[in-house]
Amino acid sequence: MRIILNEIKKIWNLKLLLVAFIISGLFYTIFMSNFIVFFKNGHSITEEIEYAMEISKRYGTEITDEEFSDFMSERQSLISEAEEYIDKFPIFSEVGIYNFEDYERIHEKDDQTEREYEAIWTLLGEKGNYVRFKIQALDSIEERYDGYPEYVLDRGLNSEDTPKRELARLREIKEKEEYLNIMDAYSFENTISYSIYLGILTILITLVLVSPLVVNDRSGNIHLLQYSSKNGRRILLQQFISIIISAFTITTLMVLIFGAIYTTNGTFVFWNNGLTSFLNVAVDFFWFDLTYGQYIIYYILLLYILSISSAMIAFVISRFSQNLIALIMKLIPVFSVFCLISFNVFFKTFSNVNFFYRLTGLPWLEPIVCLFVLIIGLTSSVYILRREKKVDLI
Amino acid sequence: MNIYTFELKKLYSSVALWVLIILFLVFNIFLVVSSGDQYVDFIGATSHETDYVLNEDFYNRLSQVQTSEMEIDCLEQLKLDTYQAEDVFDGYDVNEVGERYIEATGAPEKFAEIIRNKYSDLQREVDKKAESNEAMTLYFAGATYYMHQLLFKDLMGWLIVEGVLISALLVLLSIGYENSNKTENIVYSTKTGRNILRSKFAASISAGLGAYLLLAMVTFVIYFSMNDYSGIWGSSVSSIFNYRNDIIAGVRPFVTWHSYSVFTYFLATMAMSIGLICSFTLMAFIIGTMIQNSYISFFVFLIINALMIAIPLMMSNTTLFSYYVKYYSMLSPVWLWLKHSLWFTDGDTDTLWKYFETMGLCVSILVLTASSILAAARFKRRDII
Repeated sequence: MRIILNEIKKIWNLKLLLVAFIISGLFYTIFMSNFIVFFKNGHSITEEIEYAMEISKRYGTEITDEEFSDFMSERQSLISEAEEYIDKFPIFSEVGIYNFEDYERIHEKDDQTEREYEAIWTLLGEKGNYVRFKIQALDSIEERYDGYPEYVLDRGLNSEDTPKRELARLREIKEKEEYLNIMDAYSFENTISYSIYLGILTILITLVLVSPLVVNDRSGNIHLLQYSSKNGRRILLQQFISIIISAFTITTLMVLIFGAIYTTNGTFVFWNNGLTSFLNVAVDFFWFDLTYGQYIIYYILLLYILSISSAMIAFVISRFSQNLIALIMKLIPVFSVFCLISFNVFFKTFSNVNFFYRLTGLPWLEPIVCLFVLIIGLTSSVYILRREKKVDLI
Repeated sequence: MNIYTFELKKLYSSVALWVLIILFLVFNIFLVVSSGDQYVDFIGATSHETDYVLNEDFYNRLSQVQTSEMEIDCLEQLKLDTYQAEDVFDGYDVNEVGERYIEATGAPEKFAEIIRNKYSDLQREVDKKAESNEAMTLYFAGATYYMHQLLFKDLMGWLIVEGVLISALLVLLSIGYENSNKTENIVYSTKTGRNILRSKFAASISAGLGAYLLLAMVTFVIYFSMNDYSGIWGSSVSSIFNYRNDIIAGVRPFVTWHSYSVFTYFLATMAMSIGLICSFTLMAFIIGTMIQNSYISFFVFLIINALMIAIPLMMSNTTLFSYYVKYYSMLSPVWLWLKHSLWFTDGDTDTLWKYFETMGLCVSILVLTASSILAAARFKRRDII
């Protein structure tokens, strides 16, 4: 136990931690900060996200027809708000806009004059409280509410090309009215992109930190010394255990730190809401009734599996590397493969648009792929550990 | 000389290096193989009969081309693409592009003036091109953009990344070799002593470039045997079918400063890539002499380049200083790499000068060479323990 603790100390040395810290910071600024800074980017996306959050706050995780029409009554008050602005600003009467219908007519016109253009943008801008964008957002929400059963469910159910598996699932969704869940598509897509980069970063940091442990000992021929001690060749197993513990800790830390940063987006209001939703146009459906919170928990579980298996593979590789540069040369392809795996696994996991489903037509492949990688890592590590007991040193 | 060969041997006898080269090759071949297109093959074959200049002769020959049943669609497509082709450079006003860039970035007057001058120079080039009808060449007709991007963006870009990674790792391997094998003290006490750094540098840069050339050669032999360029090598890269696309200026012709045929553009890009790899190698060399642990050196190398990318991105365009940082950091090797598909053209929003790639490469190499000399001098006086 004491040896394991000391090996862990060797992994978490200050210089490497500093390197890992700077790498995380730069990776975050280059790849991940966009998903925080530009989450609500532009109109009417901002309005749609805010309305979706409001629906969820007001009606809970699911919505019924009455609740929906109750919510849509907001549109009327927005129109009267718009008409207030139309009365208030003289620019509207100048171009012949006296009510909201006039406004819409001019809005759809192809050849607007400069003044008309200015009038149109009054309601689309801050001066008009973005009211036209709010109406647009409500319209698009309504469109999806009406559209989902028709375009996704009925089209899928009536088409002959739909595979049996999808057909059964679509029927189930229709029966249980699962699509009445409230889950905003922009928030979901944003979470996915962020989580993919977080996965890649976590694996990178794991590889950077845990790989040099064994190589450092071997390039200094310290392993010869270790093997002749009382503890003997068990040291490799102890190093393996400390690598796994470190990988686990790194993943925990990364998830905690970057998860905390992500809470600033406020998408966790959807925590209990199902992902198969009429609003969630990013995917058609998921293979089972999955909530946003469950999605994140499954993501974290899969991330643990991937990062621990990457640590195992790094362990196997480092056992066969004589120096640190040779180690990096081998880590580059390993890291690329893990990037590819985590990109495909974390891209809309458990949905019908995930890479693995599209490739093979089988659902549930995402966790299987992760477990497969874990098994590869585990068996090769066990093989190395057993072999080490008998291997010739020179 | 003797030491040089031994140092070289240390590098190429590393198994991991060969594994890495083979894996990179597999990746490149995957890129090449997944790109096939019947139309491109057809143009490659037809261009032998029709020649690549779009003139009367071309149309006469094209109308006489006989094809098999399979390729009849391609022939129709080619006729449609080349039907009544007009020179894009006739009356093309490139100054407008400059104005859009200035507007989009809010460049201060001082820099805006330089950009305007650049584009009025470019306008002269455009007029020359319009007069010489340079653009009236076939290239790959409707598939030009795709093929140009494939060769000059994807393949060239990945090859540079691979070359840079390998040569940086080789430099670090070479410099850190004695340290990791605990032979440092013996080597430094010999007559050659720390001057071994020269042989090490020469060996690692030649091994790095050798690896890059090997990668490039194999990749391009496969690429050019799959895609027949022999009939269109002479086409201009500024062909009417080629274009570039960005958010601010939209779709516009691909204008180069000089007249490049596909062949000369290919050679120029290769030369530029080699220069770029040299500058990255110098950078790794400096880091390698400063930091003893070669594992950390490599990540410091990555971090420095990532910083070069992140700093201009993080700075908001508020002060004059931030513009200085932004424009000058474009001359750094990593930004030259990011803009590799725009080499020898006018660049985009944040390129200030014409010939930015040549200028950037010269500046990088000069600065890095000077710093390497300093770093080597420091290395000679460094305490061993």
